[in-house]
Amino acid sequence: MLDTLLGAASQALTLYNFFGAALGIFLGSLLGAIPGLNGTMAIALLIPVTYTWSPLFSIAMLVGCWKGSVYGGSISAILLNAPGTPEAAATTLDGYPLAKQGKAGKALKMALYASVIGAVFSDAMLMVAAPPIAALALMFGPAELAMLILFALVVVAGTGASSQVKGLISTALGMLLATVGLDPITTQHRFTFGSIDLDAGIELLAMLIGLLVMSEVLVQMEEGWQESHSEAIVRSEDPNASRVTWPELKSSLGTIFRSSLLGAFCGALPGVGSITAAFMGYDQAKRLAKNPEDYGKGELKGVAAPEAANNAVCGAALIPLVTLGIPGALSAAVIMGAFMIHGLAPGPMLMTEHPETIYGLFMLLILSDFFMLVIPLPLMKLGQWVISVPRSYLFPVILVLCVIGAYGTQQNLFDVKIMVFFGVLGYFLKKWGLSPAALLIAFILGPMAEVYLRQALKISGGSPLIFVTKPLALGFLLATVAMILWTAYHHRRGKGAKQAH
Amino acid sequence: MIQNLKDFKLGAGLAGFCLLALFYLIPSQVGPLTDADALMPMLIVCFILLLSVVMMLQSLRRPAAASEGEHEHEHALAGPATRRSSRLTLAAVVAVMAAYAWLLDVTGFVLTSVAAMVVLFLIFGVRRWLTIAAITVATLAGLYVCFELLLGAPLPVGTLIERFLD
Repeated sequence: MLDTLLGAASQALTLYNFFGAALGIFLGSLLGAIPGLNGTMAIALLIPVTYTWSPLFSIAMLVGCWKGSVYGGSISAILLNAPGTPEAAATTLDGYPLAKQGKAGKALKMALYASVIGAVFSDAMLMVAAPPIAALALMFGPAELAMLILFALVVVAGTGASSQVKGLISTALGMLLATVGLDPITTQHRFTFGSIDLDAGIELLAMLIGLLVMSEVLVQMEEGWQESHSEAIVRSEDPNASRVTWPELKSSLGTIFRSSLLGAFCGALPGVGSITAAFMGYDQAKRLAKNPEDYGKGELKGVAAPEAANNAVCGAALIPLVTLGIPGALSAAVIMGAFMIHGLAPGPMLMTEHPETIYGLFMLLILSDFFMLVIPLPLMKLGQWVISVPRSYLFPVILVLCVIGAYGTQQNLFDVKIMVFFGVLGYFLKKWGLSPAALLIAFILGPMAEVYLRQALKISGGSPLIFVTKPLALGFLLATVAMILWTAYHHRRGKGAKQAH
Repeated sequence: MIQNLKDFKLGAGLAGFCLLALFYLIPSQVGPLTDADALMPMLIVCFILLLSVVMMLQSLRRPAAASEGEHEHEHALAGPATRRSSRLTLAAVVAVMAAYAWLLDVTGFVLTSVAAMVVLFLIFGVRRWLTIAAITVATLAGLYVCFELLLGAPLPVGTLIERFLD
């Protein structure tokens, strides 16, 4: 173990990798601060650039970009009352009132400290929890893994769709698209329509850029956007108005730790995500507060709680990714694509086959948290200038980046056409209430599910009873059924309550 | 009566697609339904068919969700002229992107990207030529340096330009 850690340290702790992590934090904070761009879009656009770089440098940069964007979203949330990213929506509740009181600097710094503490907590949890879970997962056979992926797919179906049925349809469509190309076992052509370009299947990166970035631009265009203009930020003469004092930080630590724990828990569960975590963090802070009436009027803990929670999602979302090959959040799914592009197949074998790379990545993640303490500081000063870039200037640039990003990895023009196709498809999916996120995650997990399912059936001589005679597989199957029933009940109850209201 | 026409149409469309897949696409593009290669596509298509039927049945008695209803309401409030204009803009952007994807091979990265960016800026309502020129040049120069020089990933020159250069 010590040898592995030393090897990982020698691989990871280089100036080159430090630069990667720092660059990710910088780009993430910058792009996350601009309303209309989110972390997932930023990561999707950055992946093509990392194609020729080392896996450690690339993945550290992409995870850094994710963390940076989660914090960056709070800059516009506080200064403009317009969250730069969806996960910063809860931060506006107290962040903007603080800015109106002339305490924008204090709110931004509290958001930063809470984000860093949340991120460190989450990465520590990743380092502690990942090895035993990966060791446990090594005992799983094809039947258990097939049922585990089925469970994950059902959980993921709840991401972003307007109903449970639509979520499940999105997931199934993603799995169907994953069958395009050569059969993973017999190499028989499937749905290739005689095109050589489709033999290797649909290119993940092109699909990802189309579904997540181009479709988002189309949706924002159609819905119409309002350029964000803040009221002039009030400046206070009090020097304490732009900094967080030690008593203020100390009194918020309990809230920050509770929110970090909540966020990490949400991150480790596939499909829950950082938006839910941020609102849950805010809610627990308000419920446990001695002064709940101050929340929404500029309470500093109301900024700390959602920021700690949404940043604590990032590291923890990598736990199911590196141990089971199941992404815990949409951004983690995009990062999973980066793992695959760099020849690292996420799943139980990852920590056995590439221990030094994975432990090295863990070290870089912890380090990047400390970079986060310093790098976004200049952005606070540039704040209003950075976040006021008009979307009419931004969108043409993003669309060109989509095209070149889709082309760049394989220098294949067919991928550009695929990207445009999925951009339009993603737009319609959103219009119909289906979930591009669930479709994408199912597309990534689909081939694994198929291989494990067919291997299990081969072992059992074609009998599906293998999925109920193995206790763990049966456990996952029952959990899947319970999840479907629980979600259906939850939806029905929610609708009943809305109708009654 | 149908309470949610949008979902009913979507369910019917998906059910139609599933039947097409079961009786034509899978047999012609994969193989007989009894083959191991066809197992996964067949299972998935049957599952989608089942869900489509459930969605159609739900749409008979459940109205659109509140959030969807609000969205439709906002659209209705926007007025037919605004709606038509935003749809036309959207169609124009999709057309530019499709043309960009198809022409990249012929006219190459530089020409196609310059043309696409200028048209996109105009569609998005930017009319300051200096701004358009500055952002276009900065973006394309940045992409060229990044892909061609730093990553060694050549950007398409274009068959037409290649012929012209020869």
